[in-house]
Amino acid sequence: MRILVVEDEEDLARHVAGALRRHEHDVEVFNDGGRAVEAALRQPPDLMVLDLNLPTMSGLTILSRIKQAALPTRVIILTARADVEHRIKGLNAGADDYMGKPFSMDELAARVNVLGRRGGRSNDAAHITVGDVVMDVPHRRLTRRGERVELSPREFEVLQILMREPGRVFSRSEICERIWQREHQYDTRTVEIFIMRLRKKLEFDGLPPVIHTVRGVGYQVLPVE
Amino acid sequence: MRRWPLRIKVGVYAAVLTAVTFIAASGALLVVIHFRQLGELDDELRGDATEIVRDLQNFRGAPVNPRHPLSGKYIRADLQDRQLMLTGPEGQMLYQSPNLGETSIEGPPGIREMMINGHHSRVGSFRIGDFTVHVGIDLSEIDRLPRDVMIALLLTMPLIALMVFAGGLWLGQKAVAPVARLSEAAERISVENLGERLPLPDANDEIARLTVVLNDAFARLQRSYEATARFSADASHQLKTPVAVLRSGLETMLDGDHIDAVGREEVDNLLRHLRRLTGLIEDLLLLARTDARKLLLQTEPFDLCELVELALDDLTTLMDDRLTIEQDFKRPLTVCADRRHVTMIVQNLIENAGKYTPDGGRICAVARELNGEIVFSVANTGPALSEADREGIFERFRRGSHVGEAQRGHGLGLNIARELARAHGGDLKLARSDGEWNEFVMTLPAGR
Repeated sequence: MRILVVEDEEDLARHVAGALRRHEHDVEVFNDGGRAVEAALRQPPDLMVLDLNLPTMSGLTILSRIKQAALPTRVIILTARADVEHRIKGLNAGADDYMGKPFSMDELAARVNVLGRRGGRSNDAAHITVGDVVMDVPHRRLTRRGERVELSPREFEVLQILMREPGRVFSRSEICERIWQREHQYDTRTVEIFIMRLRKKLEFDGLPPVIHTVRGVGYQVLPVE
Repeated sequence: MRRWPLRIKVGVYAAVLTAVTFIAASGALLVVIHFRQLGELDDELRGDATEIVRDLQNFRGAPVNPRHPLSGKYIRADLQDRQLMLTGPEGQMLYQSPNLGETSIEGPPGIREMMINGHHSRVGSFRIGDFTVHVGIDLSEIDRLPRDVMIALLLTMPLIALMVFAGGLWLGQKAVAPVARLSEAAERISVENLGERLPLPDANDEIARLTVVLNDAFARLQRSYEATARFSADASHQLKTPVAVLRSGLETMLDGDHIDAVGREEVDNLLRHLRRLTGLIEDLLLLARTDARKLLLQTEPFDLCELVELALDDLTTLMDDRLTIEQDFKRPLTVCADRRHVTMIVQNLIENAGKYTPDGGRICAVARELNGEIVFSVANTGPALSEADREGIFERFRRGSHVGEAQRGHGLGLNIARELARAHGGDLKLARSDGEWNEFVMTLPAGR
């Protein structure tokens, strides 16, 4: 994917660009709003990672320019002002996703991938199927090969995070952040306990594992047919 | 008296002042009247003596012998009731009125007071021609006046004092009423409506001036309050960008190949601290918003029990079998609130209970609907909080004195939880700390 990173904090822009390049994207960095718009209009990128507070032209203005020009570019807003009010304003202005600073680089990369793959918003389907595991989110039910698996409320949440992006490796700390949103005493050890319990419940009758450990990185869910 | 309302004080002062003035004036008046009466009396005595001698010098056309004792017939009828004694030129007794009894009223010329036959009397002795006349008048009439006045005063004074008190009360009330209205209006102004001002009275008096002064003070208060709230909000925002740079940098290091296991562990550790810092910044921002009453709520109806179950699930996982966790609630208990905020409250209460329960203790989570409110209580066994801790447990950056450094958290949790509950029209209170249980109770309005 061709991605423009528009961020006036140079170090941050460099880190983001580096991370996205490692995911094999073609990344161009702009520290200035006006020049970013020019570049986008000249050759529309697939995606734009956009800071709101920029010199010469604000992020929201850039966003409205892109929408006016009806470019096919998807936009992820990256900003320190991530409260509800600004989030709504950003999404109403036509952004596809919105992330508050500071953010997890893994999560940013994952969201970029989701937008690129589907060309749409992140997955919030009511039913998720990964191989032989089916999750019914509204009814909080999980089945594997048609057999009902009873999960505790938090176990269900952990598995849901993994199943929404099968194949993606989640670090323990990212799972932590996703579940509890804010820092507190639950650490990565608690996540390990939940993963352990999930494995025990999912691998009944000697079925092959669904959750895999990627050493030194984290966990991923892979489909079993 | 210092605690009495102003109008009562005015009434009492007025009544006391009136009574004192009245008594002093009456006393002065009495003294003047008394001396005046004595003067008149002395004139009368002198007149009587002159009359008597004139009668004797011209009794039926001729003077009587000043050396012969006299009988009552020589004394005029209208002077018969006087206390009277007549002596001759050599001092021989000529006449003594019967009402003197055994008492002698003889004395040198002049006027004096003495007791005659048990009566307080004023006696004058006058030498006129060959005769010396000693004449006395009973003073009981004159003596009775101060007593009568005193009785009259005693009888009327309470009535007068009461009337003056009532008058003072009325006056005081009238004077204080605008102040009372002012303080009522001032009382209504709180953090929620710092922008409101006191109504300016029509008159151009002291009260109007006071109103202006108070309104100015409120305006200054509002400005400084808003500036403080804005400052924390701005500061938090400004902090976020450098933290984001730090985080992205550290994560980039972890992603690279040029880092060994030790370095990786160190960076992981730094990242954990960075997340703590982020949490603190988020909390400060949240408090800045609640302080400025600018917290935007994204409300939706949901079942509080879901959140409680999740938080209890975490706690059970974390505690293994160190504690007994009991729960008592029946789904659903619907609230209409911001789910993120209520999650923070519930998690905070349940996490705290886990932190502060000694091994082998119990935690009890109960939720109910009661009179249109959802009441959620978390109780844990543990030592009672000190008086100071009970008072200050909701203060910012304050943690219980029995909490060691080992406990994480920055002392904002309970304050935030209470602010959030209040922002939703509910509240959070410490309901019990009796040495057996420590119990926090959150209330939220029930949703439909």
